[in-house]
Amino acid sequence: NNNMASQGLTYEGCNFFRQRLVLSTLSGKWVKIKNIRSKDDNPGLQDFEASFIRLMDKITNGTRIEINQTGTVLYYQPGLLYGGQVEHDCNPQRSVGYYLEALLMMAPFMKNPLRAVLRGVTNDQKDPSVDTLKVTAISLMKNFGIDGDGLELKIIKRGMPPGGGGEVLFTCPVRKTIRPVQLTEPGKIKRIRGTAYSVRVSPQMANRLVDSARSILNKFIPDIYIYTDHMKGGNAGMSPGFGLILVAETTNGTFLSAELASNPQGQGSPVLPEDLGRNCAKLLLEEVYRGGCVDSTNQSLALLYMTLGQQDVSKILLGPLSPYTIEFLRHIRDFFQIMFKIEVQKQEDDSCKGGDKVLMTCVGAGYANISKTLK
Amino acid sequence: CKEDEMEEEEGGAADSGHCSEEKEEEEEDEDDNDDDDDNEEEEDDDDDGKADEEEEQDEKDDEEEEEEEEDKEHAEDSDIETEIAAPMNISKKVGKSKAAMLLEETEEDDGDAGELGNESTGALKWKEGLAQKASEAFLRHQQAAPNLRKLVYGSVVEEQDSP
Repeated sequence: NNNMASQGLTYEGCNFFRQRLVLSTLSGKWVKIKNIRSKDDNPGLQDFEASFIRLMDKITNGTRIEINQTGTVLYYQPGLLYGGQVEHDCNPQRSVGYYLEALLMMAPFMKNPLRAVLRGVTNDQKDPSVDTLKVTAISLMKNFGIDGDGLELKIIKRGMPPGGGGEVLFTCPVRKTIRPVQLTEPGKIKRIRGTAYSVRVSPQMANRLVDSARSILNKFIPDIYIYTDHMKGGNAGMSPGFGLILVAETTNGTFLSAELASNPQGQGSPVLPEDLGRNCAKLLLEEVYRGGCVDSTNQSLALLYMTLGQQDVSKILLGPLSPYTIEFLRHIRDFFQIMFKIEVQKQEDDSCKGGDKVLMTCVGAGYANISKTLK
Repeated sequence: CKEDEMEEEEGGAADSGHCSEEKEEEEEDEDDNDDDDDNEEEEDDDDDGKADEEEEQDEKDDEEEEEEEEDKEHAEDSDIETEIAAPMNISKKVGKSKAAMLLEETEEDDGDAGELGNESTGALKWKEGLAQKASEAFLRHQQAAPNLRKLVYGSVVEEQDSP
């Protein structure tokens, strides 16, 4: 696997596709992925992956992409991260969050500040929704010194699967270096915020979501506010649906999130907003139990910024590592030769701080954004 | 420094010579408590205190006070010692003649000495093989906590780390 590690890497299978392309682009190493669904009835790259490759092509300059006839082999030689104005129609098989997560990882390292308009599904059941990323990922980036007026994530139109039709604006400033962080004290939960959205269904759905989520959360903390967001007409996308995003904020500025969305139209049985609200509240409690300074959706983003930080020690306390994060750590080792120190911190039963935490420590690679133009 | 303070207090409450004596006893006991390491020394001093009591047993009013004092002191000590002390206090409350008391006390003292000897060997048992116990506990803890680094990066890491 690592024979040609200095120039490029070879992988097999369709898993962790985004990680590989993103890390390849950031490290400048080519990547070759073989046997992409080679034994599947529908072999090769799928539409949403092809769409992702097109997005990568748009934000870079000089990228070489070769795909074989059946789409089972991909060769990707990254170019320069260019940034600037980008518009992209995301495939509705995956939500905008799928594409946005990759952009969040690369945006600070571009030549020009990124201003991306992404169209497609804003909220679905698979990927982190734009609402969640707006609260959790954006505030996480501020910890690493990526902030200012230029950092914005805005939902212009909402779109639910299968039709989509949403629109999102993401702008991000560029940075020469990333600041190392020491996030080891998660603090205590001080407030819970949320958004209950509904499109092309009765606006009452959002209120029912709020009531049912509150029925569980009110027992724990008084400071709860859940916004209702009912978009109409042209801003409501193509398909009906509703959902709930809950975010717990701690005294130290950590955001822990949970979300649920209704089944897409024509798929699965209809979901009662009461059930969805209650389940989402329970998911939030679960996330609070897992704890840490970064919620489980953004673990890999935080670890990437730590890796690419200045040559200084970064520490971060996480909840239990997600399988995706574990694979991400392996990929970071492959592309950047950086390994984290991973220490389990056992919790005493009476400490009331939830499950076991993991302290991640690394020395940054000293990655400098050489393509950034000097002014 | 500490002794000076105690002396000042004595001067303040010098209504009767007896009270001051009690305080001296207290002082002794407190000093003993400071060095917890040596069990036997403590026991010896306790005995001395009892001997003092016997001399002053004519004043019955004071005796009760003393007993209370003693009870407190014993309550502060470990459970084992209070158990030993309990029969002694009861015998005093019965209020026999001085000679009989002395006899009983000496008998009890002998018995105490034997018992305490056993207890002290028992108390010292936890000190045996401390290093071994510590290493066992460490290994047990090490096995209970999964080595996440190994799980994430595989066994290759260990080889790279060792040099």
